[in-house]
Amino acid sequence: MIESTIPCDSYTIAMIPIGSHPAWHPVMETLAYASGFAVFRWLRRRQGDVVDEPQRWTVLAAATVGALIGSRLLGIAEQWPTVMEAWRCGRFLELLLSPGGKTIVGGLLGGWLGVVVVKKFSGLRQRTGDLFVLPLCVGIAVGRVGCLLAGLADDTYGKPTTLPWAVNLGDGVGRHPVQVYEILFLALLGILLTRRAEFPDGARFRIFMGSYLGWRILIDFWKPQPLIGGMNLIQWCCLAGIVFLAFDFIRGGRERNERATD
Amino acid sequence: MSERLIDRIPFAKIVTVLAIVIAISLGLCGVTFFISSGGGRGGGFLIGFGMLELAAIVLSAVGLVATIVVWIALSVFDNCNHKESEPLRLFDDKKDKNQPS
Repeated sequence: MIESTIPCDSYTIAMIPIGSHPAWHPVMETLAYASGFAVFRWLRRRQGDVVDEPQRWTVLAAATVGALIGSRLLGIAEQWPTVMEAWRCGRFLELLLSPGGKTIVGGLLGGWLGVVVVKKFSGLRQRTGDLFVLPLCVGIAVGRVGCLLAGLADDTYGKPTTLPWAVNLGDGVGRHPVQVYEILFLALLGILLTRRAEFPDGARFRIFMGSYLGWRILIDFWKPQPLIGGMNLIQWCCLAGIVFLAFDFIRGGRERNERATD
Repeated sequence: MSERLIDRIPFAKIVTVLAIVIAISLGLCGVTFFISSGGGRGGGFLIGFGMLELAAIVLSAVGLVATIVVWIALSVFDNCNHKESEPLRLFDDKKDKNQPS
């Protein structure tokens, strides 16, 4: 059981993005959305699309709204000691409106769920996720630069280390540059998944999701986060996402076999 | 033939843009500063910026919910109308095809 040690008056102060470091986060976050969308448009023009323009916009709307809700919900849930403290102090609305408190994993899972739900109701059968792989790699990588520059104000810093590439985020402690590790991982994943190899429709997106969620389970062990049953909340969500992917993979395999026997 | 209302209004684009506006507004720094400075009594550029951010969050959230509600309502209405205008099927085509001639 984790006990909250954050006093009522200080929980917003810890999130105030004043000063040179924390202010980088919203700037880079905005750049991340812009660069991701720019790459998406470029890729769509270059590769074409499996769905027409109105259907693509519907998928995009479902993904965006799902991502917004998912990232915010998981972001707030992740900071649950702070949330409980804010609730006790009657400042829950302030916490809801305050910046930060969004997570990439929540965004990915929420966006994916949003698209699944909309496809179910609209009868859209095509796999639409492949076109999002490279934009997501670029967008997340740009956003991670903001996480690194935000320093200790952002909750994504690494555990202390004595490795030669440790970074000092202002407290005089050398830490794992986990954000840089993630940028390198995303660069590698992006290169591998955009090669001209033959992939079945939807496979690139599923490989991306599986790899990223798996990566987050590993890398989050290098982050000082509150643990529940040996892992933090984000890691548990990643595990749930991987289990869902495995079921989806088995279901897809069965459908392919049925189509082949027909 | 006149275009249907649901095809005329780009609901998906509006929803996408509003969701991105909320995400960016929440990420920006103004609101926390506004809140932490005691509801805007401090004055200055950041307070004004914070109020702008707060307005963006609230207006885009209201707009997003309203757009989604209208979009769903129009889709359901359109679907019902479409079904009503379909000719009544008295016989199942599949069964007919399987009948021996």
